[in-house]
Amino acid sequence: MTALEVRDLTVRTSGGRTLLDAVSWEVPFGGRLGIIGESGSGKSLTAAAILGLLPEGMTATGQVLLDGRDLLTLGERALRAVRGAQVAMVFQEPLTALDPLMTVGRQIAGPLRLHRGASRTKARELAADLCRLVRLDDTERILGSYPWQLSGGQRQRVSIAMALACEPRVLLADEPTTALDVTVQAEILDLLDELIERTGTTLVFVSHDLPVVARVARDLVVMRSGQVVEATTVAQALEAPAHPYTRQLLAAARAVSRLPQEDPR
Amino acid sequence: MTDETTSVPLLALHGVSREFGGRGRTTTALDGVDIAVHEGRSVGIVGESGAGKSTLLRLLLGLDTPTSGQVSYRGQTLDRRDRALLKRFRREVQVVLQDPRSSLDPRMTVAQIVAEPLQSLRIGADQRERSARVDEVLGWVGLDADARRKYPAQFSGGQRQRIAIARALAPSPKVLVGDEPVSALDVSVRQQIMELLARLRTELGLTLVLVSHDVAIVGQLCEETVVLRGGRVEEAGETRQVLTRPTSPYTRALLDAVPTLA
Amino acid sequence: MTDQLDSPRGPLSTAAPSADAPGSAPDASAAAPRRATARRLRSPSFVVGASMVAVVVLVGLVAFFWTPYTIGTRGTGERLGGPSADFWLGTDKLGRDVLSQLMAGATNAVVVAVCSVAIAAVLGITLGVLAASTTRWVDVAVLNVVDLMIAFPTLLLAMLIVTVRGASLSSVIAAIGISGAAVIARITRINASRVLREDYVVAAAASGTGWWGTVRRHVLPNVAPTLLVQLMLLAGAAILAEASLSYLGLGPRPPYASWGRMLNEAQATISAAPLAAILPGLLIAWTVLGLNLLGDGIRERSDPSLRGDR
Repeated sequence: MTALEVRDLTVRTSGGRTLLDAVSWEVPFGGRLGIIGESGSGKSLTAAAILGLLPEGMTATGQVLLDGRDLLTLGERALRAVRGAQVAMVFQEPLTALDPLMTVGRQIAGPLRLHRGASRTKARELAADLCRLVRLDDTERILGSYPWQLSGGQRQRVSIAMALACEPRVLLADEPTTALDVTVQAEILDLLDELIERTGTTLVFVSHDLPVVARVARDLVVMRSGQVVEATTVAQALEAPAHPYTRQLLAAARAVSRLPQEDPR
Repeated sequence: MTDETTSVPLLALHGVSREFGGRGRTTTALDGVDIAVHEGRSVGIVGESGAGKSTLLRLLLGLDTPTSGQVSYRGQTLDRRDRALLKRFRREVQVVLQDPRSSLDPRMTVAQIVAEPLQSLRIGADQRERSARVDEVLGWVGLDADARRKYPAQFSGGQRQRIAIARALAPSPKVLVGDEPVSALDVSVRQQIMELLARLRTELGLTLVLVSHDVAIVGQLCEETVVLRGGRVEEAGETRQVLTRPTSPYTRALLDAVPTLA
Repeated sequence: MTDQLDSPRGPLSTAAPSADAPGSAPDASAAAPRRATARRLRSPSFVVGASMVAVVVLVGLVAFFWTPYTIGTRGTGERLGGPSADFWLGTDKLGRDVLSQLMAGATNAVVVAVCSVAIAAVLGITLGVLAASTTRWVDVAVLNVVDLMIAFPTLLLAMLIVTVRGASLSSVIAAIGISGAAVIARITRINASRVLREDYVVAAAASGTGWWGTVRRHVLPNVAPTLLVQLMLLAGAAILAEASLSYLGLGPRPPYASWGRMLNEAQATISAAPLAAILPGLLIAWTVLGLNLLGDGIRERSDPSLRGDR
């Protein structure tokens, strides 16, 4: 059963340049798809296109099928009902993804009140639950804080809490740990791991960092210059990548992330 | 190992502390840091955000003065008022910065960018000599001569880093300080630049000082590693030792957190 | 931390990223500005603005050497005469040739614009650069002085100067130049601060480049485009200011010509000799509009982010 399918997704600028070229992939319910690519590959653009968040002047053709419905045919109003409730997104830079003028509590409560029609008190309760879910245990303090008062890792946890607030079918994560310290990254990846397992949400994880994607995803889509170069599994890609570009990417990733080994003494 | 105790370090920090702010509210960016860079032994400084890396970098480059302690160059304390010493220092210690987009002046040609250290430090007898040197260093970093007339915007991120490296090499430095020199690059380009740095280190006898959050690059290019945490030196020593059998639990946790490929 | 070329604005014509060989895979968004510059040369604002300004400058230049009738205090024609063979645009209330006065007014406008902008530029840029690049005290001092100057109306300043030195061209230029300097100083300071925070300035410092070298090589060239636009706009404001001051009688006395003074002199007799009243006003508007369009045109041509995706 396919949770999300992208079929022949093509994105063009108003000047006629093709940014995404017939991108196609699918992810089953409860699946974990990693999308890997270098800069200019179109990976973040794909995520934006799925949620109808393309910048002005760009047009998308093809299909984005969520549970059979083509998201590309939906108007803005219908899309707003989908965003947050059925497909949620976690961004790279939490400082810009969160509203600096609103307390965190109100922001987490936002989707709850919008999509679930929760009352203010009920939403506050649920928000506290969500905080605990993402291991932010000091809930009172966190809910009352503004984004700039929290650390990068805490902000990302808040973003995840907001994303999972309405129990979406699909969670899109676009480079969620790239801006974080490596130890914080490890915690957030562990958290994502655990939450996805527990809630059974489908995960689409976009990144340029192969070791990170390998840690979190099971299936893999490799993108380059707006095209899907290979669609395989993480295990397969690590062992015997088919496409030369994937091989190259893997070789480079191994070379740059190699740590010194102990002397066999 | 005997070298370390007898030879004078090219660059060193002795009990350096740096505080900011005043009127009761001071932040301590660095606290009692000791680092020694000996010729031929590249040093990697690893730290997460808030560890004090940028402050340390500025001190290493003589762009800032410590609140206490000294920064020394070949045994002499760096004083920003001693122009002659500073000039010798700058000829020998150059820097490559993190962001390829902002480290090159967009309004200057590559030739002008790479020649700037030569002009500021008055190296080279005339324009022709300097020009020849520009071509030479561009060649070392794998860019061809017709790059000199172009502008930074016409190059990719990796190529811009090469230009930045060429600029740093122009005055024939002994020490190349790198501030996250490859973090902003795609992985395949990252590999190429790391290989370039390794090659330059061997062929030109450069000593690298790499400040980075990336443990792997430090592990591959530096003989010594210093782990910086909260403005203090958490652990320091031979790279292999620090990165495979660290004594500090913080270092251990840092290493464990790095995602690796099977 | 990744090269955010991947963001929606990122172009796609990059070749395989591994081929980081010289000449391959350039930042494709950079190739675009090169082509776009060629296209943008056709910026309509720029062309129209430049033409309008060129006309005024040409007339001013010609009038400096020759006008149909000598500019003086006494006119030779009949008073308030309409257009005729001798006086193409008629005469004013003192019998002076309107056309000659308009032409001389153009010279005056050019002189005022050039001189006051020059003063504003030299004074303003110096203050702005000093504020941005030296110590905090200098910055605070300059900011306070500039704020004071901006708060002080040009008109009042002009009146002050005129009281001391008498109404003249130089008084007007001084007043406008000083007021303009305050605005230029502010803009220079902001832009220079931005440049000084860039990594290439840090790299320059590490390469041994000193204060003056940094200002000369990095700060000035990078703030120049924005400043150029502001100076064009300032020129327009200067002409408007001089016209206002002259209208109020604070400007250059005859025989110097001034469109502003012509307006004042002709307003009482506007029904008898409409041209003498309307034309100076029209010319003022024309010149200021031309300078504003030119300023916009220059900005369009040099600012990559204003170029749409074509």
